[in-house]
Amino acid sequence: MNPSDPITGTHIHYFLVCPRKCWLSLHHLHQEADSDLVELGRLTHERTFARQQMREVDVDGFLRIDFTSEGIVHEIKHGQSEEQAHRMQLAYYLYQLRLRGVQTHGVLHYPNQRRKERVELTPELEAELQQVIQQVEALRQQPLPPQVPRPMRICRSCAYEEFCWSDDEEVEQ
Amino acid sequence: MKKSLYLTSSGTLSRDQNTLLLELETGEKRYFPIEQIGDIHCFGEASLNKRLLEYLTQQGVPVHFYNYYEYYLGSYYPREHNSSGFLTLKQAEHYLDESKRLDLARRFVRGALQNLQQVLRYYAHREKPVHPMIEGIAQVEAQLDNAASVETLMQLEGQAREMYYSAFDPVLQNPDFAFESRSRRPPANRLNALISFGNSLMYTLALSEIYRTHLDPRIGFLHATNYRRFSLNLDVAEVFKPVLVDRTVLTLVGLRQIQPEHFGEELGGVYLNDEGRKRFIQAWEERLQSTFQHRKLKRNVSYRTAVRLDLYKIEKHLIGEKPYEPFRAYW
Ligand code: SF4
Repeated sequence: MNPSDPITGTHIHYFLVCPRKCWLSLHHLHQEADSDLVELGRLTHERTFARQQMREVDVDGFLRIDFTSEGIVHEIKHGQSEEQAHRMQLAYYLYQLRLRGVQTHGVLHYPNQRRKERVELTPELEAELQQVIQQVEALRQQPLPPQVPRPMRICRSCAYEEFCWSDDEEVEQ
Repeated sequence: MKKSLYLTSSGTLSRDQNTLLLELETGEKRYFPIEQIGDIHCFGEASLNKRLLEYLTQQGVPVHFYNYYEYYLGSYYPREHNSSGFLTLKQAEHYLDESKRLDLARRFVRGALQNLQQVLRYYAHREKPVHPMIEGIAQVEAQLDNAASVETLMQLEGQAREMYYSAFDPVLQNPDFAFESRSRRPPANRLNALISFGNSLMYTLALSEIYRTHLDPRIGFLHATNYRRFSLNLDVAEVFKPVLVDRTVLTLVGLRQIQPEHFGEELGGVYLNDEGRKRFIQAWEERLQSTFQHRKLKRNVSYRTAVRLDLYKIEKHLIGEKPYEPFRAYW
C-alpha cells in the first residue's frame, strides 16, 4: 500500500456503507466484480450517460467525475439504499473540485426510481464530509481491517462477500 | 460461473472478433464466448498467436499446457490484474520469516492429513478394511507440532501419503487397478497414471484460482520457492488433492467408468488414451461443480469455489487477521 494513495470518491462511499470494505479497498484487496448486480449498475450508468450527453473526466488520476456541458457533476446510482453514502461521495467530488478552483453543484440520479436529487456543498455538508475524510485517513492507518462479527444483509450483494465469509466453521449462535 | 475449456484434440485457437475460435484438424469450427471462459487447458497440439495472447491477457484467461503424456508443461499466466503491493509484501514476509513460514507450511500439511483421513473414513463407512491406515495417518498428524523444519514436514507428509496409498488396494479390490507403489515419471501402472493426471489438473486448477486473487503464485511456503516458477499452487493442492483428485480416481475405477482399454503403454509408462482422458476430465468437472452447504455464506458453493475461499483464508492469514484453517471435507 502506498500511504500517499489519494482517497477516492469510492472510498468515501464504501466507508459509509461498510468500513471493512473501505479498508480492503484502501489496501488494494479489490474483489472481482462479476456479480449480476454490478453489471446492472453499469448498464444503468451507461444508459443515463447517453441520455444526458455527459462526459467522464479523470481529475488528477483519482477522481472520475461525470459532467454535463454546464459543468454540473452527476452521479448515477442504481439502488437507493445507500443514499447518504451517495450524497457524501458526490460532496467529495464537489469539494475536490473546489480545491481546484471550480465552484459547482451536483445531481444524484436514481434513474430506476425516476428521481433526482440536487446536492450543494453547504457548510454543514462540508463539515460532515471533513469528518468522514478524517475517519477514512485514520482507518487507513489501522493495521487490520475492521472486524464484522457476522454477515450483514448488505454482504449478500457485496463483491467482498466471499472474501469476508470464506471460513466454513460453525458460526457461534 | 466461468468454465474451463479443455482441448483434447489438436487444433488452432484464435480470436474471432469477440469470441474464441477453435478450428479442429478436421476443419470443424467451434466458437466460445470469452466471458464464459475461466481458463484453457491444452492437451493436444495447439497453435495460437500473439494476437490471441493479447486478448487472453486483456480478459484475464490463463492457459495451461500438457504434453502428450499428460505431464504439465507450463502455463501462460497473463499479467496480474489484481495485485496488491500490501499483500505481496506480507506474503514475502511470511516466506522470509522462518517461524511464520513453518507455521503456514504446517497448516497445509495438517489440512492435507486431515483430508486424507476423511477420504479413508468415507471408505471405512463402506466396510472397507482401512482403519489401520487412518490410525497410522493420525499418528503422523500428532507429530506435526514437533516438526522443526519444512523438510521434516515434507517427510511426515510423505509417510502419511504412503500409508494412505496402501489403502487403495483394499478399497478397490480390483486386480486391473492394483496400486503396488507410487510411481511418477513414468507412471508404472494404470492407477498411478490416473493419480498423476489428476494431480496435474489439481495444480493448474489451484493456479487458475490464484490468478483470480491477490496472491503471488511464485511464493509458496511448504514447497520451496527457489526451483520452480509456481509453488503456492502446490501448497494449496495438498489440501484438496485427497478430496478432489483421489475421490475422482477411486470413484471412476470403483464404478468401472474407467477400464483397462482406456490406457496405452508407451516408453515404459502407462498413460490414459484419448477416451480415458475425456472420461477423467468429465468426472473431474462434475466433482468441481458439485456443491455443499457453506455454513457462513449460507448457500451452496462448488468445490472449485472452495479452493478460492481457501485462498482468501490464506490472504487473511497473511494480513494477520485470522490464522489459516484449511478446507475440511464433511461428508
Ligand atoms: S461482505 Fe459485508 S463485511 Fe465484507 S466488505 Fe462487504 S459489506 Fe463489509
